Amino acid sequence: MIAVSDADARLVLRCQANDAAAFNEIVARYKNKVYNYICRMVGAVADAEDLAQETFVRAYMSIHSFQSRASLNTWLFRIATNLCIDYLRKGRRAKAMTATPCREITEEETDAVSDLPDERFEPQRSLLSKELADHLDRALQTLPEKLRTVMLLYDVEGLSYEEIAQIVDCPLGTVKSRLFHARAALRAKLAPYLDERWSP
Amino acid sequence: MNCRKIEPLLSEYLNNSLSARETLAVDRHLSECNACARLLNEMRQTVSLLASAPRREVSPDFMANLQARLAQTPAPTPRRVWRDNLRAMFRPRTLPAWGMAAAACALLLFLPIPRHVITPPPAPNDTPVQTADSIAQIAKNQHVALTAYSPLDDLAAANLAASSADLENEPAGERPAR
Repeated sequence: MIAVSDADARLVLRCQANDAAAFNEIVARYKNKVYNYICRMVGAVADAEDLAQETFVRAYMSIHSFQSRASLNTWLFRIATNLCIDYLRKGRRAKAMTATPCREITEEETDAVSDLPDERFEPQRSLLSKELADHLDRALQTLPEKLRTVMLLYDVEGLSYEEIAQIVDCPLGTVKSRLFHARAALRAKLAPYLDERWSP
Repeated sequence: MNCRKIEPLLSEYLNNSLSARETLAVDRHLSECNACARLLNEMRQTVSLLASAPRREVSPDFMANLQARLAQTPAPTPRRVWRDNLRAMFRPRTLPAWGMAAAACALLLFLPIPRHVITPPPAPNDTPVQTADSIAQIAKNQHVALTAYSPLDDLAAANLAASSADLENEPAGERPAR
């Protein structure tokens, strides 16, 4: 973790010295993380990619003001979060994610893996995962954006309470409280499904 | 602890971020309460499902499109750090601190302050208090100093000298008896 932060810090220093290759490296390192987060935040594929690009354009424009008070990871998620909230508040909700799903691993890519013999391979299980994932996406979109932000950052992106507090600009206690309410709300929306599939 | 107090702790219990005392309290409650145990189980499943959901990836032309956008963007210039620091001082997280500081200032302004607090302390004794007697003494000293330097300029002394001469020129019979 420290090594990653050091590498990020070096990349930022090179960017601040107008090294374009360093910025490309930052994009390569974070593009999928940022895009995955934005997809779940806004739930629209075309706009998600546009917002992800806008995140990196803004990072590029303000890289000189980055002072390492936060990690590069936190900084990028902060930019992305602000863009998503602006987008959602402007009401520019595009097609639902279920209508035009974000790009996942392609069939060719999965075929390359599934050609290998795997005793755990079960077509029904894959279908179930897809069905659950779609249900989960729909349930996520019904959560208030403040709860969704904290939940995605903690449970999907693996950020700490402190990092999330920096991103959403609120006290630690608020982050913990929002996480609890988000989990409880999502559980309530998925409860019938969980009961049906996973009840002991 | 009852269910109402335990439920808000379940999220942090899942994250292992509760204190040892709270963890023990939750453990005890869960061993006795099926409803909370079920809630915890479902919450754990929800978190697990969310964490294991398939991750999205950008399209293959993401980098090319980004490079095209960056090419149209003016080159970044170093910004003034003090401006960012100033902006950071007034971020929402710091507003409560500013509010408390303003309230403290308002309290100090309107609080009745005892008179002895605002009365200045007495002057030190290095300068003596000047009374009418001391002023007269100073004037007398200055007068003596002046007359010692130039006694003929002293009108009082001149008058005295003139009156003495008049007395000497008068006839002896007319002199008043001394």
